[in-house]
Amino acid sequence: MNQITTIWLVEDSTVDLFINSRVLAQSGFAGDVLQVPSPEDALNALATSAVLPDLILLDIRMPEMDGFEFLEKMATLPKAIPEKVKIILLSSSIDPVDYQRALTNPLVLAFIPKPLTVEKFNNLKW
Amino acid sequence: MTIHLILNGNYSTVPDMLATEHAWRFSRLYNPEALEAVSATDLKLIICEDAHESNAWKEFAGIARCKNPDVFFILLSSNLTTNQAYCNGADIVIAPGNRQELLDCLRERMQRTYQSIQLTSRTQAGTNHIVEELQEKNKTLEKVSYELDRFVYSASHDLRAPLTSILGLLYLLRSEVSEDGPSHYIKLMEESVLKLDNTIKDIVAYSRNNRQEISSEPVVLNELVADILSGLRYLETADLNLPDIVEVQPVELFFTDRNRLQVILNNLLANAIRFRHPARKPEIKIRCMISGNDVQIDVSDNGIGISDRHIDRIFDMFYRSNEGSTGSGLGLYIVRETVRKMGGDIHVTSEIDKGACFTISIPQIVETTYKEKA
Repeated sequence: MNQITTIWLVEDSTVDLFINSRVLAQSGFAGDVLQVPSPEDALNALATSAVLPDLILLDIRMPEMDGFEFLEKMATLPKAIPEKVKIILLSSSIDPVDYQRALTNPLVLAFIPKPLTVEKFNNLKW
Repeated sequence: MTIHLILNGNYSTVPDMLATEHAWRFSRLYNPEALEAVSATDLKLIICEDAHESNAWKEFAGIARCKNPDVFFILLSSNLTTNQAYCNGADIVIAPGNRQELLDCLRERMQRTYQSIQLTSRTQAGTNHIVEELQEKNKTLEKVSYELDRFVYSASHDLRAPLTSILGLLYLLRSEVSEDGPSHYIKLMEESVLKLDNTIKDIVAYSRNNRQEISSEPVVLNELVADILSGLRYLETADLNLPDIVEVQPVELFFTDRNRLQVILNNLLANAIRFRHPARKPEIKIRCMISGNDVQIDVSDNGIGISDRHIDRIFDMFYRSNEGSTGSGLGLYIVRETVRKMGGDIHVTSEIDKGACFTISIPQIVETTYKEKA
């Protein structure tokens, strides 16, 4: 947990972006939180940004590009990027296919059912 | 289809006439080729001459009838009686000179064979058609089932996404307002949203149980229960330490449909927690007995119990015995349907104010057993 200083929230719902930012603040996380409503923008930023996030909280069902497509594209970026950036999927899906895809993806650290709470966030182990 | 007609005599002109009539194939054979030809399984007719009283025809008739019991054997002979011929495997005896009788007999026989072949091929074509139609329908059903499955999950996600947002907001709101402020309203709103969310989850579980095939994997009961408890942690039990009140008797692993067993135990445990007795510390015990292929799991609690008035109906769809509960009335119905889908059964005993005990019996599902059943 100590090494997490920058978190990106990749999520199309503005309400959930707000909730997740507030929950992170309440959990005592003191680092930077960046809201990225477009997965496309997030990928571009990953490829070009000087500062990489330590963690991305990634929504699954988003218009235009879903979370799994995002992960596929992310895996094709230079190796250092997927190696550094941890991914936690965050979704209100109860589809076992989504769970299965999440848990078998090597980039994914965990799957959290929405809504995010302080308890769920603090229970994560890295 | 070709009909072989073995001719072993001098009357070739007769079948030649019929051949143009029916477009059948005739072969004119002599020993020893005839022996091979009469062994053909699709042979329908034999005309054989009792040439030089050699008795070779008896051998032909024996072999032909052995290979094809329906073959019609015409013997051309002037010496043998009908009876003698029958005894040795011929169907009819015609004198070699009686051309008209042979012609009539052949025409009738060939007509009959022709009709029976047409009937068979019509039946075959009909059967093929039905099989194709069934395969087509099966494919459509599989597709519909798959699409329905996708629809249920997509729809449930779209219904639940705003609900989880509301829950998230209420969660934040509750943590940011003082205890004596609107927190009571917030709690009620949370309960309503949870109730709606549980109904959606129940409908998805019901739909899933109906359509998904049974699967089989090894299950370690206390690990499964631990998973379930971590999911129940967020419901209405903030003041309870679940692992502390749920005791699982250690048991060896067994094979079953893990997802279905999870749905069953999740519902039973949620009920045991929901209907805990207000005056004492809840205690939930899970006992499991494996004997051969049978697995029996008891989930017992020391909760408020179920009255005799309700106990016969608690597995009914949308039946709710407790007005204050946040249940959809689907939980125990889904439990029973799921147990039955797995080939098992469920029973309940209860004493009001003392607690309830649900007993499920399911067969171990080993991959091969399931395939045999399917």
